[in-house]
Amino acid sequence: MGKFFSKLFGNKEMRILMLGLDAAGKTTILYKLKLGQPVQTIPTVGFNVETVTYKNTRFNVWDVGGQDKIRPLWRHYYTGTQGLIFVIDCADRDRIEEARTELHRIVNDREMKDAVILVYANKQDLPDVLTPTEVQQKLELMKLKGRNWYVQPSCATRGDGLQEGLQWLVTNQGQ
Amino acid sequence: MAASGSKRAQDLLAQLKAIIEEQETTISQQHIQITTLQSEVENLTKTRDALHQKVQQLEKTISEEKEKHSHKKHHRRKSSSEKSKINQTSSAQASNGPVDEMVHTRNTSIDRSGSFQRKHLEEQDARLSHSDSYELSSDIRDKQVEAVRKFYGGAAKSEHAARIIQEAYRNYRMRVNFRKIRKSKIRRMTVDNIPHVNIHSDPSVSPTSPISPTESERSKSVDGSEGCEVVELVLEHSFAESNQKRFDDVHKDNVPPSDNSLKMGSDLAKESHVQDENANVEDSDTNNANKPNEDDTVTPKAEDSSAAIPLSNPPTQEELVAQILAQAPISTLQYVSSNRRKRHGYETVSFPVKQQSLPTIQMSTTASEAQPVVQMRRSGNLSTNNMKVNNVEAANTRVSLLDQRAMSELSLTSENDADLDSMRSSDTASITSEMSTTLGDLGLRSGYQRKSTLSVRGSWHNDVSSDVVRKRLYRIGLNLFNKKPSKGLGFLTEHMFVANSPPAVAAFLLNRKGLSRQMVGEYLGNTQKTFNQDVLDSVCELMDFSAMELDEALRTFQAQIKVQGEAQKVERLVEAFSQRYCTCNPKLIDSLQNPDSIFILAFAIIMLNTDLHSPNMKHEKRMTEEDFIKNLRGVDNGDDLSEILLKNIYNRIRDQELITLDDHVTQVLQVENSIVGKKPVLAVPHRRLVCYCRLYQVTDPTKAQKIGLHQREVFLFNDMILITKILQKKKTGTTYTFKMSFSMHGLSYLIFDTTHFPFGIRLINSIDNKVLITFNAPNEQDRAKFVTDIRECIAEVQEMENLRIEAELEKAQTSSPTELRSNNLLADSKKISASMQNLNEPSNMSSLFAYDMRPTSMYNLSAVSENNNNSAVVRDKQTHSDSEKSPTRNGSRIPVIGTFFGSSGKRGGLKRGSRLSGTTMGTRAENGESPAITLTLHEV
Repeated sequence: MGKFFSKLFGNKEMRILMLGLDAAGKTTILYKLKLGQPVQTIPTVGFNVETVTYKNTRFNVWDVGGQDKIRPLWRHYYTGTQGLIFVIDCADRDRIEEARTELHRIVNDREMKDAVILVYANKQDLPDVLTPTEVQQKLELMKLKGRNWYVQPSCATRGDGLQEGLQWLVTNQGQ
Repeated sequence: MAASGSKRAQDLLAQLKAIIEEQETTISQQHIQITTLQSEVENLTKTRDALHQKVQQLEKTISEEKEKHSHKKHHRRKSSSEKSKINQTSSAQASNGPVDEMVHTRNTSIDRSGSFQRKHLEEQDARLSHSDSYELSSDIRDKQVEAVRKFYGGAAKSEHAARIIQEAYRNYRMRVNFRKIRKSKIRRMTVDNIPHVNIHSDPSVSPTSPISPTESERSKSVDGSEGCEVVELVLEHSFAESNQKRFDDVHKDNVPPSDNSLKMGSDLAKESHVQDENANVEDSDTNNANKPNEDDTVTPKAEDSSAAIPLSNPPTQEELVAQILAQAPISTLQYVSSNRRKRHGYETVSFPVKQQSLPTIQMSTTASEAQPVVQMRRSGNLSTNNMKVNNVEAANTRVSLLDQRAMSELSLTSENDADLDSMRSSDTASITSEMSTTLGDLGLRSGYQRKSTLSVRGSWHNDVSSDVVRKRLYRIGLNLFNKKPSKGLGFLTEHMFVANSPPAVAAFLLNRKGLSRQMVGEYLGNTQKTFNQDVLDSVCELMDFSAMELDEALRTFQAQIKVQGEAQKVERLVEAFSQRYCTCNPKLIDSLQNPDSIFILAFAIIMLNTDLHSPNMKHEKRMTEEDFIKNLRGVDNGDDLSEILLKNIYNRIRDQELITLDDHVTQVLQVENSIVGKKPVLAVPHRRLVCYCRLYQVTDPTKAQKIGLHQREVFLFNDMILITKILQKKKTGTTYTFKMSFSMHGLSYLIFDTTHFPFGIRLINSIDNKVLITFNAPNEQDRAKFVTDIRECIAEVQEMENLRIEAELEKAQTSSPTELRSNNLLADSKKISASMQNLNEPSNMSSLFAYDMRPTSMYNLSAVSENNNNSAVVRDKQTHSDSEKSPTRNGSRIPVIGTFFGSSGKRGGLKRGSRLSGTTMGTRAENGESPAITLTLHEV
């Protein structure tokens, strides 16, 4: 029945990987997105995986990341991933290079070639942070040929800008 | 006309003469009094000389002993005695007055030897005999002080002498005590531990009445010298800090006088339990006026009780004193009454030697050599003692009968007292301190046994309270840890609960209860701080994984520490684990191409666990055995790991999810899961179940209610109280429905007993004094335990809030202009709070609360959400009148929200692109969530 309705009303599912350096705000964003939706009180041992419903789309978001050694393990989840959320700590100017390398490495993975890229320029509430334009330049997003990307300024602690990011994902999925 | 004029003149003359005569008589009276004073002064000089001799003797012995026993306690006591001295000389320092005085009394109570005490007695009596002169005028009083000081060779000199005497005796006592304490260490432990049970309120531990240890201790102390040592030990432990804390707490609790005094009363009662029955008879016979009112309705009782606040009721007191001091000079009575009315006189006139002389007799119980004297006195004053005990009891009962109105009256009275006592007590003029000082005053002047009991009891309480304070600090440390681990651990190290070294912290994290395993993981997984990483390594070193399969070892590891959350954190934990695993299993590692393979495999196991067991994963998308093996292909430097190994791991993880061991959060979660339907979010890392209690809700305290009606299951958590009702009882467990919940913040309680409800408890919002709910406990034991627990919880929350405010203030001091601006916004938040009233989305608030990582706002939000819950419930249930929702209630919310905005404003710095605001506001406002308000506020 549920399936029937979801077909009827175009309920979609979208598998999303969420990446970013540590302390960029991934966890906060993930649970801020889930605000008002039931959350497992004692989460399963392991990684943050949440299903976020926005409009008529169900986002299955995996909070992944880590060093090179374990990156191959994530490949299992790359397959069939339609979207990538990359979170940048805009207050951390020192590590933006590191973030860029990380992003390019994942985006260029064979399995991720179809994924749209949403960059949350997070922590916009702090003083003297990277502006979205700066983020775009520093991350060298222009170098990503033929990819659909978008930089969304956000403040995860207040939840600002998060819904807009999801909106972009909804409108740009499958293109 | 002339005749009438002269007549009038004559009349006037006569009147004048009469007046002159009157004045002459008063002058002559004053003369007499002055002469008595002088003779008194002479007496005092004699005693002083005797004291000087004594001092010299003692000084000799002490100079020897001092070097041997330069103990910490000594310094502490010395400093506090100096403090009290300063207080005496400059009575203007009235702000610390009551506390200092308490300290002083306690200090001096340890203070003399048996032979010494006689002189002080004389001195006291002598002083009391002239005490009526205080009523004459302030001039004479001042003169008296001057005269006394002159006789003693100047204020400084006499004070110095007094100090030397004190120190000398203290050193001596300390030495004796130290020996005794060492001997009786085991017994001391038991004595100390008994109150812990009550205070710690571990639900599993059966409640022990606080009275029983007291009783046993008391009987010991009466029995012989061994008891004395316990008592003295207690005295040793009472120090100024704990006093302060205690008073603060007491003050915050708002209602404790009743409880405190009740406790004290009951202790006293138990103390002389054999005599108690007689006493009761006596009480009813001779003291009908003070007999507790057995009226049903609460209102008259309120008036009654307000009139009969313990020991601030003049007739009661005078009557008491008159009875107790039958052998004392008549003027004593006068003195006491005058002292009560103008208590600050006592303080200003206070002269070190005199003041110390007051508690002289207390030594009779504390000093072992004076034991026989005590017992003699005890029997001699038996009836008067009992009288007093019962008076105290009676007064307490009355206090416990107070209802809300009475309470306001009570506080009013205490305020009046505070005015009178302005020299001594300013803002901290809590009723209890008031009462205890009065008790102290009374005791000092009256029945010997009574006095000593009171003072000892007081310090015993104090000792317990210092212990309570320590335990509370520890719990606060745990709470902070469970909110923000680094901060909490900082607090715990700062207060010496754990040493600041990685191995110590590691042991602490592994072995201590009350730490959320989630937060332990959070702390250890911190990739930013090297200290945390060192701790993690130490933690791993404490575990042994030799000859274990990797997944089983990992299971052991993660049972202690929750491996959950951000990928980087998980990675850090798994990395440390696998390193330890490698060192434990060197043979296995040799068989591998690359030791990192262990790390990768361990990580893969964690991934697998999430994949297989997370409810957010779709069933058909879960990893298969083939997927798992495929994903790990070529991991070991291009080689594959053993397929059997991987298969086994897969099967074990699939069959048995990795689960962290239970902690306090699991307990809370069980409660949460047992509640059906609408409920607030309970299971958060810093919430701990303190006790569960069955109480009966009282809808109307003035009307009788069927027994067993409105049964409520009350869960007391460290930061909130949850009231539920049983829905269903099954073999599998009981389910509850949510009734209401209150935050501990700003909560106070009141115990009362009427004939209908003999074990009443009332919860009150201390901010606006609105009654939140009224209960009746099934029995006194339950109520006592519940009250002890809730008092501690309130104190804990209050102290945490104070800490938070302190931290905020510190932050504010180093604030930037933008922060100042955000402070200005606090004022605006008042306007917003009106709209907050319409927001009744506790679930939203709670989840926000649960995942907001900043502790300050977490804290505030919890308060807000609780309030929201409350008001929602009130509206739903209509159990209370509409006045419950009066502006004052909202008013209580204002500062809370204000601080929340303040903190977010700080972060915000108001430097946000306009691109954010428009749409965001729209969507947020649609949802009706609170952040919309925050946003509006900042846009204003």
